[in-house]
Amino acid sequence: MKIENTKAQMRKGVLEFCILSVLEPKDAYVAEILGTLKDAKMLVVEGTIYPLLTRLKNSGLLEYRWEESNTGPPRKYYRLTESGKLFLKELNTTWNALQSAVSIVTHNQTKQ
Amino acid sequence: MKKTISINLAGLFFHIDEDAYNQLQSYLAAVKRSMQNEHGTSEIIADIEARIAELFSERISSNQQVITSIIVEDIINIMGQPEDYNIDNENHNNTTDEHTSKNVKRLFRDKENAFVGGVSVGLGHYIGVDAIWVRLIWILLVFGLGTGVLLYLIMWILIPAANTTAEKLSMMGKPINITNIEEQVKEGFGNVKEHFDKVTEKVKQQDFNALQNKSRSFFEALSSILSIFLKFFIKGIGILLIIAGIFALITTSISFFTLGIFGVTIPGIEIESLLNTTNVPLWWMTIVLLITVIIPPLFVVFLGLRLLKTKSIFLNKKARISLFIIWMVAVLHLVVFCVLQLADFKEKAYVSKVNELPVTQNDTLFLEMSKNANYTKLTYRDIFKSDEVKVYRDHNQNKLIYGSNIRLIIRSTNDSIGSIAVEKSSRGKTYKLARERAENVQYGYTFEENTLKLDSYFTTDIAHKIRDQEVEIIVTLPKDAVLYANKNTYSFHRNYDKHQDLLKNGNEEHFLKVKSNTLECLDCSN
Repeated sequence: MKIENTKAQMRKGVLEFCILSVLEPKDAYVAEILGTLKDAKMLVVEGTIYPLLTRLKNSGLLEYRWEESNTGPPRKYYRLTESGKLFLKELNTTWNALQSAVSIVTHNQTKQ
Repeated sequence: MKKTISINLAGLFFHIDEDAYNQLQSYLAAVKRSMQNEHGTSEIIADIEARIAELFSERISSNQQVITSIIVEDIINIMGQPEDYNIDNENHNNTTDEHTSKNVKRLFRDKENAFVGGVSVGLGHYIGVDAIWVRLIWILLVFGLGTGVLLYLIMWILIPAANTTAEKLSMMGKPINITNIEEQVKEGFGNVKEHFDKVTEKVKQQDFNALQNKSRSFFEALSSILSIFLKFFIKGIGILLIIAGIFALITTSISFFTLGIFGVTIPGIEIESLLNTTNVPLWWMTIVLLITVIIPPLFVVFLGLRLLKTKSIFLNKKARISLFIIWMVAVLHLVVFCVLQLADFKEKAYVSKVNELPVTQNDTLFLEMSKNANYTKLTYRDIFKSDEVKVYRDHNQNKLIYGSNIRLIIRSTNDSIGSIAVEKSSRGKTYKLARERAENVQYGYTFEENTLKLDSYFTTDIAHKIRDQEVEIIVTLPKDAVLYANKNTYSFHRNYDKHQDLLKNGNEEHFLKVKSNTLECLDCSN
């Protein structure tokens, strides 16, 4: 049991949730999503996000459109689908419940 | 100066130098491999390539600027290691890692760090010690018993080489996961390039084949049938070569074992060391001889395998060359040894001593050979084994060389009294040495009551070594003396005409009267 692995697993578990959250207010392309996640230290390396995005897209939670770019290659702008929005709402409730549960547990632990 | 390659990454054009290209290529390949279980891998790869293109264009100011390996490394740092792309399997991987790492270690030859065949390095990996210790043991084995060479060759043949990355990892006992594969791949950029060259070669070949198919005609069909026959023929020869080579290997090793030359002391081994001039230890010569006889059949086996088109599993080019060099050195060594050996036989010296033999006219001389029970039971000289020598101990426990190469010659003289000449001879590097050895040959006879007893052997001290020592006895009798030769002289005077021996074989046990040039039988039936 390595601490790095546990950390990475914790982070990866909530990564899908985070991606969907980033896309909730506005559409974004990969670099933008990455910027937000990296600023929040949610993500250390970029690689992880690509298979996740494709998976979310394949399961119908996301869709994308192509947009030309002045500086680089054309960009994929991702957008939440209707089922994506529902999925996110569900995750939000779960997350809140989980968060309070975890904080209660850890809080009690520290008290004792 | 570096070569640059033009690449198209997500529709954008980049100049990239060769190192950076190889690096990027293997990185993308590793990423792809890490996502094998993922659906839509090509789409993900396209996304990743687009992102890399984006990052590239952020880092270069103009289209003329070349992407270097520094930029590529930078980008790999941003994008993460190949296993970072793997979402679900990491958990699974990590648990299996701990299970497999214990029993995954396998014995392979490490060709990359090989000195000869990579056996030592491979064993080192397997046991977990530095290869230098394994090599040291080999050297000790070679010098100790000489079996090290054979053992090494056997292991070389039997242990497979680690060729694939997975094999290399299991050789090191590392778990086969993506990080390790990636590391291994990074180590072998050169190999990646080689692989690419092969691929392009293959593509060319395919084009050629396609062309061939279009214009296939009767003659081509015929020639292909012929080539199949030829292939079978060549394979047959290959199999024959392998069988012959293995047979030769087995017979030579068996003969070596049965001869007991493998450093095992056998009776008579002293003879070999007595023959030896160069003072090279016998085991050393054994190894040299072993190498000389074992390498050629090995090459024959290898040639057979080559003809069978199997991957040359046990001899790469370096190994072949070094084996050949070893063989040449051994052969040279043998030649030098033989020359030195022959040199000690170059000069021949004779030492002769003539004594009066009180036999006069009308006397009868009884001639017989006497044996010494200490040395031999025989008074017999085997013409085929006349050079045979043995080592005995005398009553003072000194080691003596015993020889039976004694020639007896009977001649006549006009003098009134007989004589006996003992001529001893030997060989040596110089005349002086040869003469010294001849003088040191001990030979004796007794003369009592008209009976001449000649020793049936000579001896010499072991220090003088075996150098073709011979003794020639010329008994000269006055005319009209009578000779009665014992039967046991038969084999000692089996002479050619050139020796001018009057006593012919078959005339023993007869009273023979000495005439000027012959012996006249007095009691023969006819």
